[in-house]
Amino acid sequence: MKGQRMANYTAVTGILAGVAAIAGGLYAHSSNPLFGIPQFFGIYSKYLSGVHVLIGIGVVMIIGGLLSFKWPSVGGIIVCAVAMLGLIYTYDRGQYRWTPMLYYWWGPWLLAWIAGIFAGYAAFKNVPQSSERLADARHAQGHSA
Amino acid sequence: MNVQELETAKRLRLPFVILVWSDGGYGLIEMHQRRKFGHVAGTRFDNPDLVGLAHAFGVDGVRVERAGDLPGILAKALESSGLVVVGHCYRLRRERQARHRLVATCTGGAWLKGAQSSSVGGVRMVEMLRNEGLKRVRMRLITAVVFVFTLTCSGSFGMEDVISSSGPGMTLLMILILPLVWSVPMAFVASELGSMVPEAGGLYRWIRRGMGEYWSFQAGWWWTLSLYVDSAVYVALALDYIQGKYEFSGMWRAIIGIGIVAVFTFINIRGLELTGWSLTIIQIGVMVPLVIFTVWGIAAGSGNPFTPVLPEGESVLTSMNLGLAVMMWMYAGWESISTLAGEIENPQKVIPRALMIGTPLVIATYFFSVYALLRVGGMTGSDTWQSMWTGGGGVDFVVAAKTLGGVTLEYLILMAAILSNIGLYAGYLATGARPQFQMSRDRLLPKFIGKTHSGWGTPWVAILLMGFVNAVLINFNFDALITIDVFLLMFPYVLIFLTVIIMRVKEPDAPRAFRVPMPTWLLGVWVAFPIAIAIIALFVNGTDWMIGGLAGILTGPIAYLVFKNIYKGATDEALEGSTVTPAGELTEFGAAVEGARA
Repeated sequence: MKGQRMANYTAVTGILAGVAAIAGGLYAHSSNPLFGIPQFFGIYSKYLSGVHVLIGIGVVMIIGGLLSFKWPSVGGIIVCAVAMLGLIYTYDRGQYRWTPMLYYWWGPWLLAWIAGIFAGYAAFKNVPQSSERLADARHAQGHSA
Repeated sequence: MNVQELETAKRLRLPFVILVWSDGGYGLIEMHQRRKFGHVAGTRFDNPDLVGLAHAFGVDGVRVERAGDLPGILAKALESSGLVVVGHCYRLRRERQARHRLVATCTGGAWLKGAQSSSVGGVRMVEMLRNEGLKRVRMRLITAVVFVFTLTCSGSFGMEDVISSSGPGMTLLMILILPLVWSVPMAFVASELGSMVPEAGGLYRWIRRGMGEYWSFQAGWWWTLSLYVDSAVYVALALDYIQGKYEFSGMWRAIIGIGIVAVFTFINIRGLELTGWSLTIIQIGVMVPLVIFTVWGIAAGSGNPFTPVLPEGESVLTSMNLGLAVMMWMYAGWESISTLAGEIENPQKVIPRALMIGTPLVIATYFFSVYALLRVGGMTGSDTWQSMWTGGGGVDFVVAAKTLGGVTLEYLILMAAILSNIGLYAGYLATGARPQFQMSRDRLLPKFIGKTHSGWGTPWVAILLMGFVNAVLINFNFDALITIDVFLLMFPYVLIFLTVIIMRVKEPDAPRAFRVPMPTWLLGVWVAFPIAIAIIALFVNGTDWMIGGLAGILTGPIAYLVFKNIYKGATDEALEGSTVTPAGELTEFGAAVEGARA
């Protein structure tokens, strides 16, 4: 695989993003155990709190990172997607739209983004580009080729 | 235009239709001979059997005997998957109506003007291959300036919020100083890159050439997402202005909003000429009342608009922070017109000129109108500026106009404010659709987004898609989505500034019709300011913006990984303008160009 080096970088940063998310969750647990309202669409559970979401996505990120060694695109999508969804989920907890949220989140977010960049470079190297752009001209003009 | 082109087209399997418009002579030369000598010589020719000639090259050929047969034959030819020659259309030449229909039908294709005529056909073929169905229009400089003015200013509505946040004096100083480190660098950089890479999609293509496929996709994706939300905001703001004066239900708000979106979506699909005309009319409607207000306000108002410089108790930095985000917003959009480059004749000249004229025009509009607003505010009290904001209860341009000139001026300024937002919507609908269109053409987004209208030569699917999303968004509370806007816009800005430096280093000798008149190191220092401001803006907008933006940024890598694996992307050599590979071999496009030039 041409982009194996980039795939390895994706895997390492993806795993680090997961570790950072778990670390962020543990830090939130120690400094602010009530971080994130533990409910989702009327279901109340401590596992739905901001703390547990961070730890949960951390585990999924690590799995995504490990998958990246073999499939960087799949791993990169998993790492970035869970980071994005976790961020939106926690952000949407009303009163937690404040700066301390970033204390817990900046590490996982930054590393997930970097993992996504490496995954993108790996995909660029691994997926052969088409040289047939001109053949699309007819299709693109609305004619049925 | 030579007949050998048939071999090239056949070999490359280029699926287009050639119309041979045979007039049996060199018509233009005849005209000159008649004018100069009073008679013609050696300009009339017989033609071979063009249909037989087409068959000799192994391509289909059809003869058109009567004008009435043409639409049917042409429709069949356009539906076929191979190269088709439609021969001997000379009888249609005298049938004006049929000729117009013929030209309109062929706009999205390519044709040869005549078997023995000029080189127009070959040039046309190259041009159409390069542009792939986009129609180029001759945009006058004034129209381009209107586009720039609309996309970056469109009146001063919104500046009221800066005044109450940062203080009157600081607002006026920021209007004068911020452009030097924010919008003027962007205008210059956009001019240089636009003149170097004058292609549809603008910033997306610049970044592709400078930083490669991944980052160009990111920039195009973030910028497009941002404009999907942003353009809907302008319709919502126009509706707010109307609703502030006239009470009507949510259903009517939805109907009017969708009506505005539908009208300008159609105008945009119809083409840049009509869009340019509509923007010109809109800006006349914006500027005439605003100029009246400005002149009258400065003359009749009172007080020194520069005092106080800052709100009480605020430092220079804290007061700037509060208004900086809005001011950056007001001074954004200089890169937008570049996305239209693929549809403007001589974009490398027209766009930089328009940007150079537009920049002082925008600064002057902001400065003098805000100066007048503060003078009018001074008529009702020295602390009126503290109540200046847009929306309910604040002293905005509309309220100040009533103070200054009564109900008549109030309505004029209200109309200007509504038109201003509608103009911004129309402008951003035009520019927002182009990068996604080009990304589709580069095989990085679904193919249907890259379709062009066969008659009007516009990316109608991309425009329609954007209009549809806007029509949906304006009917919902999309405050949360707005928070991602700044992030999604600032990141592409940073990439644009980095690209101009990378291009200076990578391609120092590449032709640039416009070049920022400073050495690369100094340009690097200059663009460091807007990069720093863009990064600062990410933090000064508040955590709502930041957290929403962080989530929005992550959509970029996800989208790239998904679409890259589905659609593969296109090689640099396959992109328009590249005729040789890095190894020096002819690309498919290069072969087509060579064939056309031969």
